[in-house]
Amino acid sequence: MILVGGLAVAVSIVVLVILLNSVIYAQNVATRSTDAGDQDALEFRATMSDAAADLLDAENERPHPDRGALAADLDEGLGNLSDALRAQWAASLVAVDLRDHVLHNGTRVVQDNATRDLTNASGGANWTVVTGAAGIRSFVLTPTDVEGELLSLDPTDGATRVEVTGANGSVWRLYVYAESATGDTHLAVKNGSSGTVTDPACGGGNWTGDRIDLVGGTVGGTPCAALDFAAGTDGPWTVNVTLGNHTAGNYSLVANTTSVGDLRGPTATASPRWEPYVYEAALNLSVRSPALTYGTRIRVAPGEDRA
Amino acid sequence: MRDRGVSTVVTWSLTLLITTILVAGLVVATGGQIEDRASSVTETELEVVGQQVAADIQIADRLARGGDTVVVRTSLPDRTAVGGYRVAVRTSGTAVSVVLESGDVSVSVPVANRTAVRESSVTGGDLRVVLDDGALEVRAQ
Repeated sequence: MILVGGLAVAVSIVVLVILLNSVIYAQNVATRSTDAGDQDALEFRATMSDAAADLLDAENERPHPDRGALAADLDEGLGNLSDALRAQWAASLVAVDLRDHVLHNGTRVVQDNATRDLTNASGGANWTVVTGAAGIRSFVLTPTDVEGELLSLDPTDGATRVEVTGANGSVWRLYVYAESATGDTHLAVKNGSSGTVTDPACGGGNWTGDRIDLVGGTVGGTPCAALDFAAGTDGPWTVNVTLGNHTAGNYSLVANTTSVGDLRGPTATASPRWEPYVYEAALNLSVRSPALTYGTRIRVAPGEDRA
Repeated sequence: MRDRGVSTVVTWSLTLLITTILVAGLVVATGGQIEDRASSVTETELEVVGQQVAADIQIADRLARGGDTVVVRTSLPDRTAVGGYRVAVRTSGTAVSVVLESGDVSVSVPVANRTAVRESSVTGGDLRVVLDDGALEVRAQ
């Protein structure tokens, strides 16, 4: 009996030791870090995204003779960027090559001759700037000399029109005209769906020489509620200029299309001209660590948030 | 002489009796105590494991908001003090909780999430949280 009792007590002690061990192990598990490398992965993603956007920005700003040269420079740049960042993050993560990417060709249209009319390369007053643009950004116009006084298509006094036509045929329109009494430059805006014309838009004023940001909706840096770009239309869009011979000034825009109107090529220095531009890039990024597999597709469209 | 012999037998009998009672009492008391401790320890272990699983789901949730492929792997104990256990993910409306069961002990840990979480039930051990068709799911490794 004593032996049996002793055995039972011994078993009890062993069980208690096992329980104590379980508690210690549970505390060990409880104090383990829950960091699976997710913070590193998100930082890596953000760094890659920012760096790729800066790279696209820089390459888009550099002159390139054609789209192939721009794409080649970007391929090389993204490869170098991938190698550099991968070396930096290799301690905690292994990143797949950034060479796995897709570039979407776009076009930048530029006129940087402030005294030139808004006509095409051949001098035509009514012309198409771009067609089939899935996106438009950084559309800026700085009128320096405005002659048209009427919103009609009067061949002598009609206002210059910047027209954005949507896929369904609706037309959003910006009129740039001179107020007949004072000669001040005014704007008027026609909504694409309702047809309502806001005249004058942006509170009147004299906007000669001021920067009109069509996409950003500002005039001379001041927000203009009526300047709601392409309101009432759906993409893809076609951009036309009508009576462009009644206004002179600078303009530029970036469009997600490669179809352009009568413009000079990228090697020209005269205006207006088109330049190769990568509108956006899609980067396939994946991150692996012992505790984590993370894959994502990053869309990089530099300048879009600064339109 | 007879008196001394009787005394010896009585003494031994009494000794055995008292010893038996003491040992039996000790065993009974210890057994109950061990049972209580085992439940308490198991509950603590499940609580810890549940928090780990919930944390992993939340990590996957955060990554899933901007990712296409998400797999978060975690290494957890195979068993508790009383044996194996199961990890289940339960949803009730928008509320998600991790329920762990081992023997008679059950523990529930709430999860804060934005990405949808699919109900599942797996044996405790090494687990992974996977983003599958827009929803997170806990699977065995």
